[in-house]
Amino acid sequence: MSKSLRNFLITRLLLTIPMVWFLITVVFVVMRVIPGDPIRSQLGPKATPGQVERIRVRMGLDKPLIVQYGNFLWDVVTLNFGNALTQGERPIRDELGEKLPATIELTIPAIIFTAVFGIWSGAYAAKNRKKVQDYGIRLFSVVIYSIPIFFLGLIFQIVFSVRLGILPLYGRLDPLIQVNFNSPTNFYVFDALVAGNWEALKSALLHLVLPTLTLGLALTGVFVRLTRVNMIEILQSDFIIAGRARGLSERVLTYRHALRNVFIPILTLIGLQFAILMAGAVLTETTFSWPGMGRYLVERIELRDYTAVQSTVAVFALFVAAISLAMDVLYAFVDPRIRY
Amino acid sequence: MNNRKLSWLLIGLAVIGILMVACAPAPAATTEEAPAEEAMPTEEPTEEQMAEEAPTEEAMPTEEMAHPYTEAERQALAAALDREALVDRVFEGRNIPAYHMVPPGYPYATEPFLDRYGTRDLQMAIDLLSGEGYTADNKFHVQLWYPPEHYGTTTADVMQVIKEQWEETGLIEVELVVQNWAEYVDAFIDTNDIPIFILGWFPDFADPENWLSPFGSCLQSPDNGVNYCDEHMDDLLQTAASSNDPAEREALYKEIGDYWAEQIPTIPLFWEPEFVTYRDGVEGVMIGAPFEFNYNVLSFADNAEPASGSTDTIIIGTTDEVHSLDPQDAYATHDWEILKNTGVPLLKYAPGTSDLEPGAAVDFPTVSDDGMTYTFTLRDGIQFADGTPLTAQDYVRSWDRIGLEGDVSGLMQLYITDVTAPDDKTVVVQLNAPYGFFTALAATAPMIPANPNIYPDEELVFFPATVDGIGPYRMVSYSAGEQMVLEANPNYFGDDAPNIPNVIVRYFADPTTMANAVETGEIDIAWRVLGPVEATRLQDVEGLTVEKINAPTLRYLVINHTYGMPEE
Repeated sequence: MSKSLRNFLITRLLLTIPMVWFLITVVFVVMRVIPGDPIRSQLGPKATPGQVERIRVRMGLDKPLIVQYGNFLWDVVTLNFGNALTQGERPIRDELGEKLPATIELTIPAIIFTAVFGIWSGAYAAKNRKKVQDYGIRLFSVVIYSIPIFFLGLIFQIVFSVRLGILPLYGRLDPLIQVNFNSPTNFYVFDALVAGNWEALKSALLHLVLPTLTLGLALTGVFVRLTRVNMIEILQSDFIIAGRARGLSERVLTYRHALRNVFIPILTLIGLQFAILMAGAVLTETTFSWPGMGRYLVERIELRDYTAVQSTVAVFALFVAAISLAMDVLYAFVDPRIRY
Repeated sequence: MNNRKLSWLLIGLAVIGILMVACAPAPAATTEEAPAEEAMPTEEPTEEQMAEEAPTEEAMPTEEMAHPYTEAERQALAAALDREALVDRVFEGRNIPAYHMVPPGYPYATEPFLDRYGTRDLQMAIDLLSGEGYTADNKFHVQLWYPPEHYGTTTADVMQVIKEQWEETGLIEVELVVQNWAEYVDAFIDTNDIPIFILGWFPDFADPENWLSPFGSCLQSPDNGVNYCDEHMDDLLQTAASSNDPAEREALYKEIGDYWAEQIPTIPLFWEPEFVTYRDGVEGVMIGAPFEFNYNVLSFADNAEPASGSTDTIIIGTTDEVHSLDPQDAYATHDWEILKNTGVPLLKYAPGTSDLEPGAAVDFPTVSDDGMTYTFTLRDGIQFADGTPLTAQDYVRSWDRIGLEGDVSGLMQLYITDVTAPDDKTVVVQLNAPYGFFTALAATAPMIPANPNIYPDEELVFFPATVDGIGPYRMVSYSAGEQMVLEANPNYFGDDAPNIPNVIVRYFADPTTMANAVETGEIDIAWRVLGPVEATRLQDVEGLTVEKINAPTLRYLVINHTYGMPEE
């Protein structure tokens, strides 16, 4: 690792700190400013005022805001996060330890699918510019981009599960397999592989198909269009013409030489799309009853569970920051002109 | 360099501005038109009405006009309401009109609103309002609040129909106000600005006391935003609750009902049914009036095709969540369902009925002469699922755990003062008044003894790794948002041991997916909350049975009896 690359990485890492700090501070403030109370929203009208007050003290919500804020920041720094305020007041670390792996297991295959499929179709469309294939792919990308994600999920469920009955409808594992399935990391695919539990692995992979397709397809449109536009530009550049003059095949020119150059804007897009992917995960997780971070976040916002919401956003922020950092580093490998 | 600083400053200011806008308390949205048009076969508004509606907002300085509604005004609102039409239009007749706070079919239920106002008495409403000095030019202005989603998306339609019905008097003008649930709860408890709003009630125990005192007693009515306090009503409620004589209670509850319809602390609207859907071959789905679902009486017929592939395991789907599995904390319908399948209170309901029968107690309790002390004798040889023997001391310990301030503490502390154990087999419950309904309270989940190996004396355990109670099942694992696994308790004392030894409860994020899952046979039973839309669709699916359950879930309008009064 060169010295300049190391400096770059350190700077980037340090920059993540104010970014995450700013974000969680905003969430901290907003959660407390919007009306609604975590204790009452959970208990509803059945809680007596005295009871609400006693629970408030137990949860430390009676302390001055600045003290609560200080405690929260310390919890984030130590990655401890404290306890949730609702639903049994479990440690947030335990809760996120269950939800985050579920979401990652869903989003990583989805982003891989969307990138591979989107880039390939974009490149293919550019190569066949103004032919039927091109118009077909462009139409597809617009349509898929404008379909609401939960609707796509519902359609897939009805077609592949209810009508054809070939793929599971919801959840992460077959109920019976899950009874005896021990998952220390909560990455089901990984744990099944490690344990050599092929039945669970098959079930986990089958359960992944529909949610991954839904989430992945919904984001494909952007990749198709970005790749196509950039490819068309590059395919007209001098070095491609030179290559063509030397007798290189169109196939080699398109997929080896041109495509590599398109990767720079695409990598940026992957980094950006990851944040959108997390949002898309909320809808996908609800449609497929997937026990992940998105569903958790929505549920806890409704309950005004301050600590759970703040911590989830903090983890999301760290996660997205890590991905965009990784993308920056990847530039250097993809584009030899970039030096840090 | 200066430029850069300037732009940072501008960005900073912009962010602060955005934050301030975001943080400013949002004004409650006011809706003037029908929120769901397709469900609303309304007539076109006449030009006259349109002209009237447009300037409402400025023309109505509500603060000036705010006052606690008079009895005549309240009665006019009750009289102008047509529940039959409401239920027909919004729910296609699925829901049941409520003419009292106590559900029909329950002990001491009457229909005082029907007796007094019929299904609707528009003329009475007009007369009452005219008597209060309201005219077509000087209308009775009513603000009607509701949460958009907490009670289902049909709430908006319900409110729209009520608005139309009231406005048909020609003397009432209704302003609908929508507010998110969390803010809504805050608003009706903390502030005094909400005059009329909708709430739901699900009973804690099956006795009229639990449908009346929370709204009609001076002590409890502020908790529900009713703020109603009337000496005569308090007396009646107290006497009826404290009586052990069924004939006296019947007469008293009749009188309370009539007085309720006259005074109108609240206006009952309708009872909301629940639906349970199961596949052919599933038998023993018996959900009676107290709304208990006993898994142990479920069975598979010979023609059944279990979702699990084996008749040893049944899979039940729900969109509910688990909030707490500590019997002395849990206070939610689904939590109680799990606790009652893994535990047994002193008394319990015969499956599918509202008939109480002895549970962990060998017989019904003996009652002291003053009606305030109930003595239960425990059955011999009861053990927790892990083999620990149950003694009367476990009930004392469990009562002490009520003092840990779990969610359900408030309910129990309203009525019970102490639980003692003179010997290993005898449990003595001391009440603060001679409550005739105590037997119903003795059948609730907080009266389930806590296993000392799982629930320590000094703290609540919301999510124990296993639940080894004294019930027909034990809980062996739970993974949030995915599934809970129950298996037959080998040490169960009852003669109604489970027919199906394993139960898996699957947790769904939305009812559509659950409906599809029961259709494809991935689950055997789809339980609450399936919702009317999915239930109606599944009725036509071959191989499925959809059962409507007349749940005691009430929707009612609260009238804030201190509206507009200065806060003390």
